Amino acid sequence: MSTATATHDEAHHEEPPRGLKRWLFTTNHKDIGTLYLVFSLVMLFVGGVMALVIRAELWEPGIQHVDPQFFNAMTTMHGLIMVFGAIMPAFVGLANWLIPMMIGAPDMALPRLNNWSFWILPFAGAMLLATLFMEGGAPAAGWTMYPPLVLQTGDAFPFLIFSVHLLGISSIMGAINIIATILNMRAPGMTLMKMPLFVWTWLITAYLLIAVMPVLAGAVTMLLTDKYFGTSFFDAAGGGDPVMFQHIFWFFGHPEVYIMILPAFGVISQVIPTFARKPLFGYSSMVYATASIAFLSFIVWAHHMFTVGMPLAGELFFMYATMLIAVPTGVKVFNWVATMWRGALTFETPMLFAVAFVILFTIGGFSGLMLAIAPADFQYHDSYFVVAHFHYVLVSGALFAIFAAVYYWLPKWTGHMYDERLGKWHFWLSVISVNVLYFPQHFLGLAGMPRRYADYAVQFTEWNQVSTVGAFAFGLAQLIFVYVVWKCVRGGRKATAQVWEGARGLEWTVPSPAPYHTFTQAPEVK
Amino acid sequence: MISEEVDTRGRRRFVIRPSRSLSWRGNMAFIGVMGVLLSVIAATFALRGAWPVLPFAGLELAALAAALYWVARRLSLREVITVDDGHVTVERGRRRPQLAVRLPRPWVRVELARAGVLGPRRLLLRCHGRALEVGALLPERERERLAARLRAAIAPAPARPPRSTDNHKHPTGGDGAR
Ligand code: HEM
Ligand SMILES: [Cu+2]
Repeated sequence: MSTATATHDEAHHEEPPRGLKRWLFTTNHKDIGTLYLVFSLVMLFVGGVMALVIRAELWEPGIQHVDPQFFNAMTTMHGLIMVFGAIMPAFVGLANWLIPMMIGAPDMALPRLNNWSFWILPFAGAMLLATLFMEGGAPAAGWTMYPPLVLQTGDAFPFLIFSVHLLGISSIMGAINIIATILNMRAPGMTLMKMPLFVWTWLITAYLLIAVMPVLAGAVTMLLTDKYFGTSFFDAAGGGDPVMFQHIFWFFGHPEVYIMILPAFGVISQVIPTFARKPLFGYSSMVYATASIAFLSFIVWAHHMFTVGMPLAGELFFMYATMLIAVPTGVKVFNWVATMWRGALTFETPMLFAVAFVILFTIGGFSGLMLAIAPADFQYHDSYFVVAHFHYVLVSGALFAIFAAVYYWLPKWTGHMYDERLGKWHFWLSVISVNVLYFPQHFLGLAGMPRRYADYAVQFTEWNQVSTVGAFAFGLAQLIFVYVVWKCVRGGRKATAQVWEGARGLEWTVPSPAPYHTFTQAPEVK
Repeated sequence: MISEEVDTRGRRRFVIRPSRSLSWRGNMAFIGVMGVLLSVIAATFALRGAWPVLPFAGLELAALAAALYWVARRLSLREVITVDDGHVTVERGRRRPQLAVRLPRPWVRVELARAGVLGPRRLLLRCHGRALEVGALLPERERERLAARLRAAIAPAPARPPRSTDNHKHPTGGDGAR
């Protein structure tokens, strides 16, 4: 058995070919990871501009810049693009870059499939964006696509369905690849309970994805046949039931929100121990907590539907099941805090984002718990309070984790240190503006402002203006991020192999930048 | 991984297999768990009238099984290259050899060649204008090492194979399955 370490003289391996062909046909996990991350960044800005259109319109009551139909198209497209175009591809990109390096595999198990799963994405994304220019406008019934409203979409409708199918296929292919890799390609000695938590969380995420994606595919297919082929799955007039769509959608949708947060948990569990210079507190409890969250995520979906008129037993079941999720989530937060406790802490940019994640994600978790109280949710439902909740968990949660990950591994990817001063600027501007942007939305929601309207009553003006100011500040702050990444790719102080004093794990044993082919012989795992 | 041994008759034998962290049984267990879960989900929806979930679940399960099967198959392949006085024998297969080629040792040349622009370097045994690829299952660096060891073993042919110079028996250390 060959057990030399992976570091020595791998650098002489030749460089990849240049040009467009490299990116079109590449089967290299690092290239594909980069493609995913770049795509995700572009989509973050596309979806971000849509968010700014929404916030500009909500600057004051009345209709100012866009008509209500277009406003609703913006909320719908913003949701779809951020979920399927920005957050998920970013995590798949991180998985591609990191999982093979973390488990000591030379590449993903199915490299060619990997190429396909990426290249479907820009195609599907472009198709979704093209609906903006179609007769009848882009889809405007919300990212949840509830019938019968969504069936009123114009020419865009079949394109919406087809692009959701394609995005789903891409996710499934990615998930299958990740599972095949983690199960079969671990280096000798890399047992399951030695895997870094990022790998663990992705294994469980991929499993969730595979479990729920066919449900989404079925749901949108039924929408399609209801509109064009005379079926009436969701049409009460034909014996169907529109509420069934909500059950199906949320059976997919709730696990989907965990699909977007579990890899973030993984990232945070890598970053915090590094900058606390201590091993992660409670590794195995983290694994079990992740698994229990995944399990529970199958039995809480109807907390999105407390107001549709469920039997009391249903309301109670889904209320208590939802509250149960707070237990494993609490275990995680506790473990992160315990890892930092008495650690030799330093606060480089990745750590700043990680600490902000722990605090702000927890705020989102608490508002989630409030929403989980069925009788209270009758008031909160479809109000700005829900908007505040899910942006705390998705922006200051998932997105901040992605930022933490990018700053943390960027030196490994590029071979250069990023500009720490600008990174800190990015962090502080983001963390302040994100709260200016979303915290007032709690007040607006509790005061009764509904979501998905282009107009509102005058008493909501002030907090909406605060929120809009926060939104533009947050948007601008992200330009710093782009500049930092660009600058770091171009050059900078040379990064060492280990990069961070406290970094542990196989990816830190290969040189920076990580050579095009890593682990061309199996590393030794102690 | 490559394990090398010299048998009592002085033949050197290289056993080559890819490293692999889960047996096919383990993969099947995973497919089974996914299958049960997907069936329960799809059947529940189908019973409530939402039958279009069923075919998608079926397709997806088939894709998962096919992918894992493909990977496991690729990882269960092994190659045995035996070098004796007169011949180089290459056997390849899963449980038993499905391919066996005997090449006259004096004519065999070991070559590392790059396939295409993006491809890794391939290890070829050339003989009388024909080429046989070996070591395709190995990561590239190990393949390069195999090339060096094969070169040393094959040419130039000494009168008697060296019995004591090389480390005789590598600990084979299982096949990495756990
Ligand atoms: C402690 C954990 C959590 C609890 C108890 C919780 C609870 C809830 C509840 C009850 C709702 C429905 C509110 C309504 O529509 O009336 C909701 C909505 C939502 N949650 Fe959470 N949540 C939690 C964590 C998360 C996480 C981690 C994410 C994503 C990363 C997330 C994303 C969302 C989204 C996107 C919605 C709104 C969906 C929509 O209607 O468009 N939640 N949450
Ligand atoms: Cu939910």
